[in-house]
Amino acid sequence: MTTSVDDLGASEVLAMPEPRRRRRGARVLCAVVLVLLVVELVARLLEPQLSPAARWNHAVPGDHLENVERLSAAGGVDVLVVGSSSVGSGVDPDQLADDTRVRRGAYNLWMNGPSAQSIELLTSRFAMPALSPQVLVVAVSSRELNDVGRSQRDHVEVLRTSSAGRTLLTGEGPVARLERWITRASALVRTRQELRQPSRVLDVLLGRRERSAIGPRGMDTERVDQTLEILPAHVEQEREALRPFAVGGAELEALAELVDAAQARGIEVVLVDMPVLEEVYVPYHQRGVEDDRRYRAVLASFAEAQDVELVQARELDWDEDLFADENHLNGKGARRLTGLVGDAIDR
Amino acid sequence: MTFNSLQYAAFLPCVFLLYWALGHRQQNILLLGGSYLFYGTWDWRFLGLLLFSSVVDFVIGRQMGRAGTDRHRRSLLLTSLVVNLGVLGFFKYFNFFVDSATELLGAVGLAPATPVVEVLLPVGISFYTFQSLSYTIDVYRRRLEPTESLLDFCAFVAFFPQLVAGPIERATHLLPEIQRTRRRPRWYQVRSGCVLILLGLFKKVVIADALAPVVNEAFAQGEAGSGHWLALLVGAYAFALQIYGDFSGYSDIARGSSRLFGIELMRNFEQPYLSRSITEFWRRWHISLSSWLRDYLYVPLGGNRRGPRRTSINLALTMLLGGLWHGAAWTFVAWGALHGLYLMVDRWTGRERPDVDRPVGAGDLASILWTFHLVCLAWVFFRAGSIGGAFSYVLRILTFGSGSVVLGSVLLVGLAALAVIAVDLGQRTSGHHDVVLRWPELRRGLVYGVAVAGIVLFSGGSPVPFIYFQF
Repeated sequence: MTTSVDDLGASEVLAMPEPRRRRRGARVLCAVVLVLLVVELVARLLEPQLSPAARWNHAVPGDHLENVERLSAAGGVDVLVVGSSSVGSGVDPDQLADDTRVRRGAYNLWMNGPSAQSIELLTSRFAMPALSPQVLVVAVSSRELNDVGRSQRDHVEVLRTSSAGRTLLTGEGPVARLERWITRASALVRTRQELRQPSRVLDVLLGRRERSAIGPRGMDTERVDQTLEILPAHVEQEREALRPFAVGGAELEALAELVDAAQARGIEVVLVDMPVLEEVYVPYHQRGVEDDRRYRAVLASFAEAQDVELVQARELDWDEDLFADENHLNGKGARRLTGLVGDAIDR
Repeated sequence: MTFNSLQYAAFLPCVFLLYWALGHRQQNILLLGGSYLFYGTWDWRFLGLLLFSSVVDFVIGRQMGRAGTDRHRRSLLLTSLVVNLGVLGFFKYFNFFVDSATELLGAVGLAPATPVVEVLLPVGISFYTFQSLSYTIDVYRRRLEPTESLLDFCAFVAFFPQLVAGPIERATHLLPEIQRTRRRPRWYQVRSGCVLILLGLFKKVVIADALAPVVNEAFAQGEAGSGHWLALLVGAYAFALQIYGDFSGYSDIARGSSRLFGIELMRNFEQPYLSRSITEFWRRWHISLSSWLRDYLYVPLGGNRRGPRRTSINLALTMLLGGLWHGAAWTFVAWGALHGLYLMVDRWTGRERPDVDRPVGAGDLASILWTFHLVCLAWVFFRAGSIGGAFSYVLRILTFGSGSVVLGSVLLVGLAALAVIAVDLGQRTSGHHDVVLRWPELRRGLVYGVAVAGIVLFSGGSPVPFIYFQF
């Protein structure tokens, strides 16, 4: 079972004169470098055709990134709304801009299934500098503040390890600095998330683009006309994100960092406790009502400690006809919530 | 610290450079210290257990060498078996047996109060326990002289390249390698070690990790009784390729790393998916475990020397325990049972002595495909979360369940299969694992370049742990 010396290809090598061995080694090295250069060239050629979302490992929808780039070039926005997909369908930036009469308008930058850490990373390192808002609306639910959720942890990991995430993160030691340098230098490294998926490469080569329901101001328009529908796959997804459940820790710290970063830039912060269909959603938590109560108490004391306005939307009644599913508002629900947020900004 | 992490990329060259600057005794001290550091990065608390296992077997081996009677030697061997298997049983199987007993008693109307103990599984415990046991058994059988050096023995048990996932080395082979004075490696040895590491990383990162999402998606659907039959079939193929890439990749990196220290480890895989029968498959898959089970379990049970019926029982028992070795779950038992059944059928149909050295030809295609599908069927049970889930998965394929098929996934599995076939056919036809070293330099450089580019393309983010680390 063991390997003999002959198995190592030794005999041919040993029989060779030293200069010839060195020449052969140099040829091998040249061939390796040649292949890597060709691959890098291909990546550089394909990079402009790839979705900008690839740089964020697709944790952020590509349309947002294009919109933010466009708005940034046009001078930014006055109100930036951040949060999960619940916020995407729950706050209408056009209505918000009309209600608050802001000149540069509003933008709704939401992600699917983020944690507070993901929101902090994307907002304070990317969106706030790019859009220079005067008001930051951070809308959360218990899911984003769950400190022990697996999917939340995965989400922030995906963002942090994306090429864009690596470029933005600073002060993490020599390895992180080296990774950032490589990311900046190599198109292959920057685009590998996209290039490793044959179907995406095919899409690029065939000029196909994925369908998007994100409006020019970021709102998710897909649920506007929907009526309440509870889908088993979605239920499973939400339950997984809320079990186990513990509020506080790194997620709450990230929220505090976000508020501090915004206030340091002179940005007014409004916190929103997102409405959910309570009788359906609250039991998804590991300990049901007990977890939900704890989350609401922590959020209220956090807002007080940070001296920020908290829109406790859940204190109002939210009927079934305002929801597209148990934690996403439809167009009618969005109009109501946007009104509440606008009132808070005016105050 | 895993083989596919940046920490290992820094750790290995440091140990390598230091190792060859030292004398023999200091080399073994460094190997032991490095191995304990390597193991301690997972959980330093289990270092005590590793040391305990090593010291117990070292002392028992020495006592065996001095024992005057066979009875005394037998009692010492029994002590080693009880201690090692007791520790393994407690850490790996305690909760499994308690849960199974509770379920059984619950089924007959009894509801006993069961102890709740959160037992953490020490990484690699199944591997180093079997390796350490091979020492006491071989000393008992007088195939090996007991060592007088605790340092050498501890370094043999904890040797970091193969500590957490094998190959499970025999004391008769690895201990003398640790004990002998090693010469500074020649360039071709270092080069071939590096090629094995590159090949292993390619299998792990480009094949196994790339297929993981396809496998996860297919099993999430199939076990829930949904998903298109073709997507599930492709998912089963993907898992077969994933576990092969993952485990044989680990073994290649282990062998390559070890070769840098002038120590040769045994081959653990010999192109298993090119097997023409299940018997041949077991001569090519996880060779260190299958030969361990053969020599220390199947043969002592009587092997094939006591008639066809007893042979079948021995085969079934060996494979069931082989399944259970992987983990405390009924799915592993079912996987072992299926392979036991396959091996029995091989014996009944006269295919128990395959000519493993016969080259593969086009005429073997049907038997290779048939064997591969039998292996895939067993893999479904191995991968599934429950026996019920595995049956749902298989039934969904057999009843041509409808759903959607993601073309990208099929394409990815097809590309991975091509890569595996190319590597395995190249190795089989040449008879060498590092066949690439014999190629002309331009071709060799292109292959290295493609491998490096592939690794860069498919890496990034947190390193995915090796599947066999959980065993």
